[in-house]
Amino acid sequence: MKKFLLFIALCLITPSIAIGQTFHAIIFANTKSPGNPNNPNDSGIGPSVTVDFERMSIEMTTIAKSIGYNIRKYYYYGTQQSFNRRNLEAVLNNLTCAPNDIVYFYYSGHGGRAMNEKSEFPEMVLRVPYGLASESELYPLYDVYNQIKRKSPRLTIVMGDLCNSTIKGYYRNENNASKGATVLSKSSFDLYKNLFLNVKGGLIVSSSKPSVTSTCIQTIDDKDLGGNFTHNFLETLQTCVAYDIDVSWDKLFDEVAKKTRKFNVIDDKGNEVPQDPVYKLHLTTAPINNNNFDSSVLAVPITSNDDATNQRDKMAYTLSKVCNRNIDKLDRIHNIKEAKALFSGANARVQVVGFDNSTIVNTCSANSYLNYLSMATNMDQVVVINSTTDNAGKVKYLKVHEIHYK
Amino acid sequence: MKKFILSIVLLSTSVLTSFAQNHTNDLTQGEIEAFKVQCQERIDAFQMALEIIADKRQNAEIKNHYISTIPEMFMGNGDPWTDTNGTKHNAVEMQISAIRNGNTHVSSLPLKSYLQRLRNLKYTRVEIKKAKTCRISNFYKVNENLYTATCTFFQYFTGQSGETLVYRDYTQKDVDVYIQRVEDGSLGSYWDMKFGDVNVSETKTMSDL
Repeated sequence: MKKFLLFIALCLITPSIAIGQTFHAIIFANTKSPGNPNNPNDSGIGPSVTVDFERMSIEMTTIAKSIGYNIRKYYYYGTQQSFNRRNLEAVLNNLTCAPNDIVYFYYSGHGGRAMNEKSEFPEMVLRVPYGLASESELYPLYDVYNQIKRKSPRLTIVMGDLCNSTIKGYYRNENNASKGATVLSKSSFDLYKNLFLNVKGGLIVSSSKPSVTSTCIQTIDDKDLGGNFTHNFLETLQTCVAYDIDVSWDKLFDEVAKKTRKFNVIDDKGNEVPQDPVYKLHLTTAPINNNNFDSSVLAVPITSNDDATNQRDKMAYTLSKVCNRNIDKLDRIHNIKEAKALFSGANARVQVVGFDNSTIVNTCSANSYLNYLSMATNMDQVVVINSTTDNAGKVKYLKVHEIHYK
Repeated sequence: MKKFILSIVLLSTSVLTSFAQNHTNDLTQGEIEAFKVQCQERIDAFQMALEIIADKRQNAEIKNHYISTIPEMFMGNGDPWTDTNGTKHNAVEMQISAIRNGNTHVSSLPLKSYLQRLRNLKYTRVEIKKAKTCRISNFYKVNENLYTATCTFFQYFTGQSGETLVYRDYTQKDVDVYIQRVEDGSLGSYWDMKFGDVNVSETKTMSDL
């Protein structure tokens, strides 16, 4: 009886946990992908995928905030222990969706297609070391889409930035393959709501057509801009936000495809051809009533699968309690103490990057940054991108992105 | 099967700009735009803090925090400072103005003194209010390590004694903005934005508006 009463009491004091829709952000990114060991000039796609991963994680947070959903992160990157097929199957098998939930799956890494592949979409290579050791390291992008659709979320988005060229001699075993499981303004709220809340169904997109590779892009001075497709997708989306352009998914991908095609890649016959993304939209217009959404609330982060992500989210939440404009000014000042305890001391440095994840717009000491946060007038939250810590686990260096209101 | 890495040569204007400017270590157009956004946010924070410090009804702890924090946005943290060429400068100054008998009187005092003075104004009620969004000029390159701009902000000032309105004006102020290259032992070279002197460019009584 006591347990029952306790349960009732807990339900009464934590109603916000029980309600609210979830934005499931699933990212598999081969951020440690090495180059060909036989080619000393090949540094691999790891640095470029890292750019994709960091930019997409900012974008996912921004989308969830803009449409008033709680974000649940499933981030798999870095070592083979995290970035592997077993974890992909587990996350897909264990995924549970309420009817109004949104699932956004994003992959960046190597890919290819079986010689007997029927869909237009490639398979992901879920392996960190160079090359392919076993067919079990492959997983079709289209199967991810089908599996998520079976969970019946409101909207399914599956997006991959990977090659779609043929893997010679590889024929897919159908039975085996199907087993598994980033400045908020009125215009940005409107745009994200239009894309994510006014439609239901699913969409799947891959960075290149069958028999064709995909490419990463760099400036001539070797600065990684990420995957050609991902870079153009994020640039187009952010341009629409910046210039208040009303856009639908099909128009968005038409524009992304136009930009992605400017770069040539190699087809199975060795010819240079434009990189042409492939996408299928299965969407119907179905506006959701989300009037109860209060964008001013700073959401407590939901625990993800990844310890490092949880640590970054916890740190971001602590910093956000200093800057969020809807928290009482005096409370924000008092919250500095908790945030300061995360840092190693006066020498700790913070760098703030812009929406392109590379332009550094502020570099200062941690103390100075916290003071600035406490005075900021239009800030919603801070997204932690990466950090380095000392032997005591205190932050020596922190790279963040800020989400502001216009 | 592999994702190939391609260097951009002639395909993106923005990337080309970035490349061309990186060669001379100049600020890129993208960086300048980002700094403009930062500048506006900091001016907004500065104006909000002035409103709180002047307001007699506000909490003393908040006022003290803002008074000690505002100088961090300025060159030398509000103390005398030395520029990248080794030239010494006085502590940044804040100009204040008042219209008396139809004449505008302008005087200057160090920023830190100004903040204390603002808190202790003799009126029983003070209100400073942001009049409109600030305007930022273009950034001009002074030398390899320094860019400058001017940011103009606008505010209403009202002072009351009891229920009697004693003084009210509208002021336009220009603040110098510096973006300077900093060499850091651990992070290497980066650009840092700070504010300089704040000058009154226009003062009007409310009846002039």
